[in-house]
Amino acid sequence: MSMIDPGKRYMLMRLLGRRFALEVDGVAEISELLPEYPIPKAPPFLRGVVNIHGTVAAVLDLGIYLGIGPSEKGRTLLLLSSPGCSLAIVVEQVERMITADDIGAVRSCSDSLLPCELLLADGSAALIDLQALLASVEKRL
Amino acid sequence: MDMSQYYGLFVSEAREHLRKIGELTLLLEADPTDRPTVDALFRSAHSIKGMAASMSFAAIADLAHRMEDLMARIRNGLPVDTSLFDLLLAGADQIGAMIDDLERGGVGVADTAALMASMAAYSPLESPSAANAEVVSPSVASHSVEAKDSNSQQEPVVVSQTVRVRTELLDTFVNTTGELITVKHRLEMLAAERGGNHLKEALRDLGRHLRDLHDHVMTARLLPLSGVTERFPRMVRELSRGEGKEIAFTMQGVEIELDRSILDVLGDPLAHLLRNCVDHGIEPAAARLSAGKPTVGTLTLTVTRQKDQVEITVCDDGRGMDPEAICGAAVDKGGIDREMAAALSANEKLMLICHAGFSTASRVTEISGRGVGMDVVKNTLHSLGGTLSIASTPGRGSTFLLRLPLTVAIINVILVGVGQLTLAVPLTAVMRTADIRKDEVASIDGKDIFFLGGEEVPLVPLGDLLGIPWEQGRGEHLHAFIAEVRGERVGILVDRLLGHKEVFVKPLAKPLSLLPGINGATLLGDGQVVFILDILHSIDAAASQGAARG
Repeated sequence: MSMIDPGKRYMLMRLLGRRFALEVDGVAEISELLPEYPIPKAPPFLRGVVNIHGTVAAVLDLGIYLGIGPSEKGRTLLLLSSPGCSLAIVVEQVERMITADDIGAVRSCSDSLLPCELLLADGSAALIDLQALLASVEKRL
Repeated sequence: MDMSQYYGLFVSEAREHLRKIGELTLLLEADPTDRPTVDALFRSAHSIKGMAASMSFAAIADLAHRMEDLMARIRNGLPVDTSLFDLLLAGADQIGAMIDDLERGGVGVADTAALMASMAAYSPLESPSAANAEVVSPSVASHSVEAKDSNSQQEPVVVSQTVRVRTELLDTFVNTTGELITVKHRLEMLAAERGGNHLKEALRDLGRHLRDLHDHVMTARLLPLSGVTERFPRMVRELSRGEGKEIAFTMQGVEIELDRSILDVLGDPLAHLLRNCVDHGIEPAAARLSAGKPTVGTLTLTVTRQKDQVEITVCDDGRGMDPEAICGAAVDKGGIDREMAAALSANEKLMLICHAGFSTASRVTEISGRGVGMDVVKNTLHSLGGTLSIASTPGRGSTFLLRLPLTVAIINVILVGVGQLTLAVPLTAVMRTADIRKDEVASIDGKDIFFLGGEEVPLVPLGDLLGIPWEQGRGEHLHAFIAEVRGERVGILVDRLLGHKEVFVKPLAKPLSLLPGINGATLLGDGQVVFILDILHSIDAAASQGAARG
């Protein structure tokens, strides 16, 4: 359980039939889908940009980026929180918040973006390493 | 009495005096008989001593006191030589370092014993120049000191007409003004839909007041370029002495003001240009004599204002650059192929020095020649919406011309449409717009051109530059804006010309800031996000991709 911080909370979300988890501190805002505008010369994993209260944020298609398919059915926008970075992802559903107490066990994975699987009472969730994700996106650009 | 509340004021005022000491020392070096400069140096050292003593920074006060003593001896007739200037500059640097230490949470103490001993032991060289550099007669000097002291208590107290404002607060003013402009656009759209003359009239008044507010806020953000350039005389002095060269360096027009955000990033590119001129441009004295030139090289930095742009010219009278040699080096390094090189103009060949990794320097010095600087200079200018051009004559010297907008926060753009995309192009990058009849377009060597004022202007579709489908002009006309790219006009074809607008530039955070060819974004009245295009960078990027595809 060393990858899990006992004091932190995690947000569970669904995308393309899979469940993911993200530290709550890594999410600045949750909103409904907003109008997206195209980005010139953007790679396929950047869907577009949105205007969230005057902040211009790029929208990452997490499904394409993780190689599981385009996130076409997403209904909820999560603006991620990281200094100097303005990135959002689209998910189909935000399920609930959990704490470390809700996590039965942690299974390590070899994926740098999804370093572990959280085993819960009602299934499992792949934990997204936010900093690794942001670094990976920057590197690919 | 708790003096800690004055700590911030001490730091900023001490730094201001240190800056003056640096400037005045160089002035005195240029004219050792300049009595007002000697007096001003004395006063600055005296002020730092007094402020440091009141803040109980004894080590700083002691060193400033020793500098004050030194200047008092000069005022009393002690001759001046080069070692004086070195001591004053070393003293200012040392105090600056001690203040840095205070700001980092240290105690502002350093080992200054050797420096203070050197100051106390200052004894000018026995040379005609040293004797002639005597400032004033001793009797006049002491009279002046006494007169100053007796007058000091009678000087009227002048209430300052300025206040210090944190730069973060000014940034807030600019952001708020920008948001107000965006809201005004939204209201204008709503007024256009729902009518109402009273509403439209009120919006016109609002627009007028916002323009006034904008102008005043931007003026408050403007700072003189001298804040960036003040370190250059000393930098050039030390670099040229290190290289064993004699260089007369002058600056003009540095009182011209620029937006603070531009000044923040302009210092390093300008410093790099000057270093290059010292290291690679100006020859050693012997070589200059052989070339029939004066032994002292000339290096100038000149600033002028042209409407809403500033032009900064860095010029030397050194060995100049050979476009053919530069082109040859670029071909040898694999930067371009021979065929492409042959098609370049002389100016374009000179601009090859801005490619990353380029250097024709036979040696890498501590100063430059690593080929990592000019590309940063060019890219920094482009990121500010500016341009760089180079002119050079072998054997006679080189001129670097930097053009910059006065401000980057609120700019005028033209809006263009390409396919489904709306983009903004800074007006400073646009010479004019054009509606071109399709029968005016000719094809030469497979490239479309049209004639504008008798000149052949190539046409480039913006859709092709950005890799997006465009409509390729319905009807009889093509729409374009004409941009200047490396001294030549290029027609950029778009699907729609949507008018011009004054917009607030939103800087982009990562990952958007990493995308090439984009310099920020703006929000239109309906909330639409529109990217601001860097046309030169877009052309370069497209050309690189084309070259890579071979």
